[in-house]
Amino acid sequence: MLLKLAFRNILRNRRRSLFTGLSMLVGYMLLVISLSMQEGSYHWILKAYTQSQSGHIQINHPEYIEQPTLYKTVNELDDLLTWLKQFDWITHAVPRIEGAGLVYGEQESSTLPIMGIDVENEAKISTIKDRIAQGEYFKSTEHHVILGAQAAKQLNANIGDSLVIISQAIDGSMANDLFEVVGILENPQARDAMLLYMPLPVMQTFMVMENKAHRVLVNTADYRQADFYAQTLNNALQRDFETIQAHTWKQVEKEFYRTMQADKQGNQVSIYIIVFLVCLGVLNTILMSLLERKGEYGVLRAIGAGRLHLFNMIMLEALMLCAMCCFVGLLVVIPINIFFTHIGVTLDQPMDISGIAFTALKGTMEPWVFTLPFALMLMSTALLTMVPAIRAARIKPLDGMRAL
Amino acid sequence: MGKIKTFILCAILFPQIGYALTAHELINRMDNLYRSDSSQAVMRMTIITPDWQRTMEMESWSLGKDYALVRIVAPKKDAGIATLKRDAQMWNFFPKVKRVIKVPPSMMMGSWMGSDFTNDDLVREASLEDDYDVGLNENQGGDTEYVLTLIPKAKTVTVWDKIQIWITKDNLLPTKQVYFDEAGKPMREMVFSNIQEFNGRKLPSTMTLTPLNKQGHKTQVEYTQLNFNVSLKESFFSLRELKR
Repeated sequence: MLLKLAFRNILRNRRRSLFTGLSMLVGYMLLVISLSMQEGSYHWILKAYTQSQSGHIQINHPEYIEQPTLYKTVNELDDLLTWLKQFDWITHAVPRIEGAGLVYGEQESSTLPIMGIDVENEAKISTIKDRIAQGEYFKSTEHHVILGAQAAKQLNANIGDSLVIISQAIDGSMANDLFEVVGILENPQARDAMLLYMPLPVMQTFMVMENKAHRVLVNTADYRQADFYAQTLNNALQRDFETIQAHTWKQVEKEFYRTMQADKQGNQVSIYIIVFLVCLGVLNTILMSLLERKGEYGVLRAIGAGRLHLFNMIMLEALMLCAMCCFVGLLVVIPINIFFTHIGVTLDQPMDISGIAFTALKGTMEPWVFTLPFALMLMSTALLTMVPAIRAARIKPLDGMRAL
Repeated sequence: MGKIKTFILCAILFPQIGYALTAHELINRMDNLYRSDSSQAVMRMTIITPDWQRTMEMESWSLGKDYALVRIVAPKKDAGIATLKRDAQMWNFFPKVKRVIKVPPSMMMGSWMGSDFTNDDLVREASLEDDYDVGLNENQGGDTEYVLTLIPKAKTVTVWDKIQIWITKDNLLPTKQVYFDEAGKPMREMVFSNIQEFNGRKLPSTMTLTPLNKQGHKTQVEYTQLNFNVSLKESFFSLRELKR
């Protein structure tokens, strides 16, 4: 009976309902889209970042993350890689070696950081193969190197040039050998612009690090499950390997993670602002409609409607309207969000986050992006309507009817 | 008669004993301790770090203050790696890549072959007298030792603010050399020990360099052979000889 009455009331003054409804609808859609874009963008950034930079999980010597030195290695690398195959949730396990050396080009020389990469698997998780501006990616594990854009510029090196690299191997001996430049990467702003890449086995021999690495990146289907899987991995590692530990990307890239969290909190302010603006609109129309219907409430009270009855009716009216609008909003916003999720907004200037360039803002289709704004809308409508509803319920029949 | 002969011999060999030495005489003696006009030596260098330890054997030649050549003989992996010094310039030769590489000025403070010695040490060590103002503190070392304090001259480019050398009064051989940074903090210490006779000269055959800011690091150089006044020409210290 109450429900029916409330519904009829909504339909009775369509124009009024339409205005209130529209502000709710627009508010809901705005909330959904901004949440979706915010979460989506972070998600895409983190997805790309964790996949190629840190790995979802990383296996290292326990002190390597805090103090990366050549000597804190993951030993028995081959055994570890074979051992990791037993976990079917691991999609990739990719070892890396990090070092540095004096690099002598044909004209210039420079001290450069060097990374030894698993030629085949690295190409599967990172974008290195696609970012080659000149030359080509490693084809085999010969004495070949790929240079970052800055590194190539500093050495004044071209494809086919031979480089002498001198470094100190892990046993203290002088590592020295001849290498050929086979590729040069694009983008001098990239995170690895100063880096020199060489195939893992070559670097292992060069640095006397056979069967050793510094990082083993472990990727899963979803980086958001890293905490759980890292724990699983650590329990198993403790049993079978002594001196190595699994870390989540949050531990590996502490600084990056912290910046991201702070940024995320900053963005929440914009959500509050949207909610506040929507509330203002809703409050306005609800107040107006209550004022308009003052006489009507007076009559209702006069013919014996209880205060609670009146309060419930007004609340129900507002909430029903809100729910209906959100539903309509949902229908409208789903295709929009699908567009944002799959195509996104292309940025004029790529956003650079820790050396990864993001060319588009993207959304996400996660259910909570739709349900959270719905709950927010219902809650704020309920809160907003409550005060005028109480005032209306306490109206004296005679006072109310004077408005007629 | 025999006693007199001994006395005369002593007076010739150690003319300094018996009268006060000047700071310049002392530093000159330190500069020429391991060199004469020319020298040839075989030595063993042991490098100890918390992560690894290795021993290299090498042969070295020097002529005057300006020319030196060091070549690693063992272990096999490093054999043939050589360093040539002419005046203030330095080149390394790596036989594996068959390249001579000039050590750039920016690398002078870098480690020489992974040891605690810097490239600069090799180039400069022989000319303390030219690069530093020397002061002699009579009292600091007590009755048994002289202490020389070396302050870099205005034109000298160095990271050290002060070097102190402890010299035993008896035999005029160094026992310790301490390097101080700008804050006056001792940064590294070289200890001389194990006195042996080479070519008729008594010398500390072992030098141990300990950086005081790097725990667990130490480099020890032991002379196993040291010959003075060997016949060497300037042309020996050439890039061609370096590559040999």
